Amino acid sequence: MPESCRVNPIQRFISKRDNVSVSSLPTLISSSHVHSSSSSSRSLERTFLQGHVPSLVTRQPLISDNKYSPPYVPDEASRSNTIGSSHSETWINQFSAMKVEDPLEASLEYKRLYKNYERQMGNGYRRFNSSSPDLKPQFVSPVGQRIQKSRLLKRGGTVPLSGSRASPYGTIQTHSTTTHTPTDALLEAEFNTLEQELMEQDLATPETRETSNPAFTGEQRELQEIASSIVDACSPPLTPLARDSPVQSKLASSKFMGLMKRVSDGDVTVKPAQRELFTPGTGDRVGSEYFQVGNGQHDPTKK
Amino acid sequence: MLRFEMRGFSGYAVQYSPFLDSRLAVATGTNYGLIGNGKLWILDISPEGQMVTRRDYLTQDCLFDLAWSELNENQCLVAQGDGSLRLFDTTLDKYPVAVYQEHRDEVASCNWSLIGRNTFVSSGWDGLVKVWSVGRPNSVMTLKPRTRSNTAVLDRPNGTGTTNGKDCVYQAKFSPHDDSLMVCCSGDSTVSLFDLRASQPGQGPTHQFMAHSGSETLSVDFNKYRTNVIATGGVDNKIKIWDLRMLRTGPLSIRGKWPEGPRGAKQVQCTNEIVGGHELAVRKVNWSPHSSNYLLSTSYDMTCCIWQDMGYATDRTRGNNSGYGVTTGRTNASDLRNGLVSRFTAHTEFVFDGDWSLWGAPGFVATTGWDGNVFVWKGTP
Repeated sequence: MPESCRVNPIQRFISKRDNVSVSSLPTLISSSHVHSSSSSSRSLERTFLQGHVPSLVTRQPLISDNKYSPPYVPDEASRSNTIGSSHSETWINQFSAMKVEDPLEASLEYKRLYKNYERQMGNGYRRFNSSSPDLKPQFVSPVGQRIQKSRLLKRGGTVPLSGSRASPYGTIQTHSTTTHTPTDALLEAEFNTLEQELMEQDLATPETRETSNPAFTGEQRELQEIASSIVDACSPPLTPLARDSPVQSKLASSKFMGLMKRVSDGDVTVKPAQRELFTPGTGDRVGSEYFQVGNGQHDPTKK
Repeated sequence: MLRFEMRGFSGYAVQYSPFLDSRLAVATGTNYGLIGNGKLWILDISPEGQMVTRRDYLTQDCLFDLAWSELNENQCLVAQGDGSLRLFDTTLDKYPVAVYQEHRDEVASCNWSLIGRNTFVSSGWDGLVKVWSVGRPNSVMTLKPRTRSNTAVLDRPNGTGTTNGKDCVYQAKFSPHDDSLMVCCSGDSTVSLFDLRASQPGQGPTHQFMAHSGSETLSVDFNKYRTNVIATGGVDNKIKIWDLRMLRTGPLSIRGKWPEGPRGAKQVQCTNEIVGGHELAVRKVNWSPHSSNYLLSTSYDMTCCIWQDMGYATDRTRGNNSGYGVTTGRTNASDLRNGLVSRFTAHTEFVFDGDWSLWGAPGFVATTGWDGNVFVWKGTP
């Protein structure tokens, strides 16, 4: 979960600055709950660190003890700045064991859904090698493009599965190759390695391995992977607004998308010899029958 | 609205005949163009207002584009998936009268020159643009938008020897104003302008610029009235309008040489853009033959739209009735409706192509898509 989404101020505080001085701790609390001048907040700080916290706790019913203990250890410099360091260390430990109960904190259900959302978005970024938050519209070209690419299968051509993933942003990355500083070269090499790893992970997604028919040829497997990526790309978006868009309802009832789902499930695949689609289980043809057409030509001079 | 269903075939391209007011040609493929046959449909609009099949030609591979001959009213050229271009004569059955076979991969587009009427151009997945003369079996000229010098800038080897589909030249078109000018758009997002008088084999385009921020540029078209204006549509869902005189020079638009410049390519600026008009990628853009500021677009969001270019208006108030006008200084983004004139939503699959009728009252368009339908509808009031 990103920093901005954390509602527990102590967690945010600790995760952001784990070498922060202790003196700022009460300030955090006082700024949110205790409205006082800077001098009074300083005296409050002193009071706080000297052990008069029960009054503070009673004044702040939102703070309660909790088993959760954040990994906060103040450094030497910050400790030297505090008053009564030995005593305050005890307090610091106690304080770090506290948890703010925020009535506005999101529910566990929401957090769980948000976590799923984040995970999915992460997959999306990785899959399409994109930094754009609005990924859905970009899926269209892969739809068109991958279909065209899959046509190459029938002639045994190489199908660059990662093509459409790399293409939209490859240009920007490429320009870095034109500069020749050592740092750039190192970064470029590092990015290349990372990208290669991600692409390899992506090509060997678990769902593909699970659903792929072992009897499929390389071409058929590639077609299946292309279909899977199209289905994934056109799956309903998470936001209700986008889900209700006319495009989504049309995509949901699209025959082409239905075919792609069947291909991705391994229910339908290509029969290159016959230039048709068929169901491997039953051998039934799917879609249009292929007719051999002669390669004749009229002689325009005899017209 | 008229509708014609091509059962079992998905529409890839549609074009009105430039000679006959009631004739259309449609290029299609089976199984959504994935695998199987193709078919060229020659349709007539009957006096009763119905579309009927006049003739059809089954082909060995799927068809992805077509172009009516500007020389012979009965001849129609198709771009086929096996890398060939075939010229059919609608007075003859079954077979083409000419086959042009040079592309190594699918032919993505073909376009007939309106001025040099015996010349046509084709582009394909092999990254090549070829100029043909109708009487010659071999191409007159082969152009490569991605030359050795700019390829190094545009992409990076991925270790497999492929270029991730960036090579594909989705569309190539002749200028309707000058038969030596040709524009094409590619999977690497670039739009390339070739002057055929100056182009040499192996040499890059006269001008080249990145149009859609690195996303594939799927379509390009010259404005029929404004000689220097083109429109492009891309995977970023945008339609952009460019004035070729106002392409700001940057690292990606330097003639001939692609320098090792600073990080990040500067993009040239368009004069107008339509953002948010389509929810998914824009597959085809086509300027009106009747108006200098009307534009048809088709999209993967299964809709077709007619747009008014708000940046330009005919200036009849100054006694100029020639159809030419003035720039308004506005953009479509400044208009509440984004300049949308009409939106057509009857297609149920991706809409791949649309064409304006040259005949009768201005504003009729024909569209086709993967739902196997051809619709003729009125796009402008």
